[in-house]
Amino acid sequence: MQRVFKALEKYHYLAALLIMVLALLVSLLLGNWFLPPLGVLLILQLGVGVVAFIGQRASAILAGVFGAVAFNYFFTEPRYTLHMHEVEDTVSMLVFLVIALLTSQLAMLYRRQQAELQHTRLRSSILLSVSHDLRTPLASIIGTLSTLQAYRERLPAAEQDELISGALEESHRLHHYIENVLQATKIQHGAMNFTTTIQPLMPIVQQVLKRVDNPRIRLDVLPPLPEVKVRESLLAQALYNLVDNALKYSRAAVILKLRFAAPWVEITVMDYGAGIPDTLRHKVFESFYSTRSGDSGEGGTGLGLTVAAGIIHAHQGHIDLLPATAPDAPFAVRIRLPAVPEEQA
Amino acid sequence: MQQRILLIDDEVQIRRFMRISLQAEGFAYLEASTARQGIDMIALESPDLVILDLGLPDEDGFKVLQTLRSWSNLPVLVLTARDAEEEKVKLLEGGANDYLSKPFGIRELIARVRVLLRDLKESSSEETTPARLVFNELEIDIPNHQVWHKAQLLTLSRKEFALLVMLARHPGRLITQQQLLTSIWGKSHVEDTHYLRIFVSQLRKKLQDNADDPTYILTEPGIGYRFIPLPLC
Repeated sequence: MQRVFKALEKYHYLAALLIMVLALLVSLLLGNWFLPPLGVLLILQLGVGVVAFIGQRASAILAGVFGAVAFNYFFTEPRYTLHMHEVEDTVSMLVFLVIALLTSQLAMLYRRQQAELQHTRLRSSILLSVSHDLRTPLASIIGTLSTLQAYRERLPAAEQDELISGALEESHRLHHYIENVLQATKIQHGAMNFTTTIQPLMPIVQQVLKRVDNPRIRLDVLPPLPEVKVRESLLAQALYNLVDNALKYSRAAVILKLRFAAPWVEITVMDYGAGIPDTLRHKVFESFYSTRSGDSGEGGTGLGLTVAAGIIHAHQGHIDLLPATAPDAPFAVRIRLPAVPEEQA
Repeated sequence: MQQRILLIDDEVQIRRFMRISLQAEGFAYLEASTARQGIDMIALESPDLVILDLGLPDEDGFKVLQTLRSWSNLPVLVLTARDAEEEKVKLLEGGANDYLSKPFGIRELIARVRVLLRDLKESSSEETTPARLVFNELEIDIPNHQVWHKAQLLTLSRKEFALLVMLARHPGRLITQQQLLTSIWGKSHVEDTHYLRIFVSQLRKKLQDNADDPTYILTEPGIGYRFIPLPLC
């Protein structure tokens, strides 16, 4: 259903035309049979109403004009001309036009309010989710540091070290999360302006792997890899998010595959976790969408993949989930970045 | 006899500092990382107190609370990252004895744990309420309905007195608005929180207690009250 609506929005002029032609055909059919001109107008009005409901304002206005002209041409004396003799026909047609305009105006208002409402809802859910996700690492840090402060003298050195490294780990987690929130906000406000440089991909990948520092990651590279035009810190963040995600959702190896498939440089991150139900696949890159429900459940903050997608799009690249071809197929996210041709590099 | 505390929390780092601090305080420490495990631990180990994080991977902490309350009265302190008042009221009505909002300092947690364990000890030793409650500058003589503050005899109405006694009997414990309303005004007045606000503010006036920086009665907005000072005897 969602898809149908999306398609309608894209081709709203075409859809409007089809609907009005259909309304006109029905009118002609019934008009020849038994329907008086006013009934015909009502059917055309219905067409305009439907167009206003699904389309844009412009297409609704056009539908109104189309309806009025068609009425004049087919149903008023003299027929098959754009003249009208009867005063009542003229009045009917004007009223028809006014109602069509009003309908399109109302439909537009309604849609705008709906959009605003959704935006507000999203914003408040984002706020809730951010405050919640900030509290968790903060609770660890504050709890750990206050424990150190209160019991330091009594604790053996090993426990003190354990507390300090715990607080540090959580501080890094918090830092990473905040970076993601900032990027996500920038992406949402379309404020991703950054300079890029042409550079090889490998050092960036290596840097990410060093940061993640997990023995479960396997690197699978098929050289030669052309260079890419990127902002290093942003791409690193996108990769980090994907790898971090893969590690979070699986227990087995996580494979990072680098390939050159002209004109793209492809980076695929694969894991053998539980994957994701087909019904949810289209949602993974949505902001703050996570398989975690509320407070409970494993899962992330619903930011990682969104931010990764935003960053890749800002680099004129593509990011998608590879379809699961077999039941035991890995869950795979593929990034494609435009490769920089040799002569430019 | 060491008192045993069970922590149900899926966050490794939180379990880490809780283990270290609770052991340093002389408690026996038990842990569980899922709701399922937590319920099993309670049944098998019968701890003296449970610290329950609401954000568990397998089930909402609130469900754990309900399951637990169906067969046990053991004190539960809830940790929550949400800060909506409705949430807290729901938790307390659902059987939590107290809650802490994340993030919290360890001293505060230990203080809450001690209050809950002390209440437990009092209620398990047979119901002997002391006739006199003595705090720093406040003395409450329960049988004679007299309250002395800074060596002055205060005139309190019957309800003000009942309110003060109910709070002062359990220093540090969170007493919810519903508990106070039910026991002083009766079950039919459980929604009339404005009564409570009026009486608490009258009581504060008589005790010269400033609501913004209280020495006696601390307000937990929308939820209830705590009596602050610890008894001298």
